[in-house]
Amino acid sequence: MRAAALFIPVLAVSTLIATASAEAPEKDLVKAESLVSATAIKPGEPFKVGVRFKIEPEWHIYWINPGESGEATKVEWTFPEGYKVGPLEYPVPVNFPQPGDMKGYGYLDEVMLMTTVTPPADAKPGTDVPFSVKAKWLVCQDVCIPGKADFEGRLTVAAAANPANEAVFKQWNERLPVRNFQNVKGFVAGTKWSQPQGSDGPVELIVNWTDAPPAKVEWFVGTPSDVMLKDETSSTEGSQSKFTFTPVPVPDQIVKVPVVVAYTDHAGKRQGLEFSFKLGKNPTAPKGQAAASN
Amino acid sequence: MRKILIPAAALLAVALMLSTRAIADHHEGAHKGDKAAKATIGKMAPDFSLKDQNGKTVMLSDHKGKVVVLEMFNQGCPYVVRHHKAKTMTSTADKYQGQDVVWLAINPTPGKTAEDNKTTAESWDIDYPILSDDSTSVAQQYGAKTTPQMYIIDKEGKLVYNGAIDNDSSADGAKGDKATNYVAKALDEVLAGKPVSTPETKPYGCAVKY
Repeated sequence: MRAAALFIPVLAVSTLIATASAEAPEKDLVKAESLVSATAIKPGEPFKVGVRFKIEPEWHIYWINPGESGEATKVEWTFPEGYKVGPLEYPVPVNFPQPGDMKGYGYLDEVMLMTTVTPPADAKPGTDVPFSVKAKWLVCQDVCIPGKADFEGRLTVAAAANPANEAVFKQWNERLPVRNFQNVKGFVAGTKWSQPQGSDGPVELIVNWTDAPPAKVEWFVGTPSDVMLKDETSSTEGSQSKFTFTPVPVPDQIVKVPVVVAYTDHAGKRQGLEFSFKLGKNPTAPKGQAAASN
Repeated sequence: MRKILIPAAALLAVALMLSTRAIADHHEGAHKGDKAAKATIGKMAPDFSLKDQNGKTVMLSDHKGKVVVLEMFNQGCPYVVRHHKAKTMTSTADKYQGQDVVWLAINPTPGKTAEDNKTTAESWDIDYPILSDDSTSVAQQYGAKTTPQMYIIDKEGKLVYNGAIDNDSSADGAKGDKATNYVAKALDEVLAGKPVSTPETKPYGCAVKY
């Protein structure tokens, strides 16, 4: 039993704002649950951790860029020193309309946000590994209610890993956008972006497909929360899909902006690929340079 | 008698319709051809006429020659609540008081009355006007997407800022003191006679429902 991961939800509260509570249902609109892909972990061998959100029907939570209103869902894991915690991984989001025809990007029904944790190579088998998780979200329908949940857990280091929750991690790993798509046999040839000289012109993002373009290409651009995407256009012609927008304001500092291109593949499955580009007053990449990075 | 009464009632009805129409026209007129004149950076800000929490009519044009800050307001929005708990709005308004800066909140929440705004102003210690825009017509004219979206109008009546209060779009104010207050920054520039360096930012918060 020592190997079992224990989760103690220390706090799982949907903070109801007093004046909104008249309109807002009194029950939990989001049920958050902390999960680990192993009960015993092996020194140096990466494993995954996740927080699964079960969302009340017709309500939604948000992607890294929530769209025109809303707020990104965030999860932070704290592990002992020496454990390397990777970036937060968001599955391919969906588009949903919000009141006032505002764009919204995020998740309905259920989603799991994850990251990869790498234990130190010299972790001693038999030691306990305590960790904590902080999740926060904004759940919206017509009204929005912020919520948060904190968890604490414990894993054990062992000579051999003992996987757990395999089905749920497999399910959500498959819904992450593919980053190393250059290595994926199929129909992505490459991506590029360009930003004209000066900083005020439109940014152009391009995906070239090697095969016939897939259906339902949708672009999700993870600009910083104070940057607007103005004059968005998106098109697919021939073997190329293109998205253009004008960022307002252009950030003073150069920031790396993730882009997820969602599409329905030839087998009818919704997929996504992810690349990033740099945005700022002095972008370092020359105009038109292929700058897809993973 | 009946035959006279009916046309009289009909006439009265027509007169009523006409007067409502006239009021509507006047209202439109006050916005100076608002269909063309949506709020745009660098252009004259559309005038409006709304009632505050004490029933007093406030027009933008009452404040010609002053810098006007507009705060889109909804007491049920967690982001508005956050900023009022942290006193972001009231302390910024206080900071520029006496420098020819007028701060006006506009509440485009359907169903929120002057009475509701009065209750909120008292419990939240807000001493500036909260104007009822429960038809959302002014919010629409200003293209407000969220509460608390902010606008600044310069002394000539031109719109010089449209966007967020700061660069912390979280419901819990995660950045705390490290957040950049865009409105204070823009007001400093406007009062120094300089152009606003960041005239537009992405507003965040709760969607304004139309």
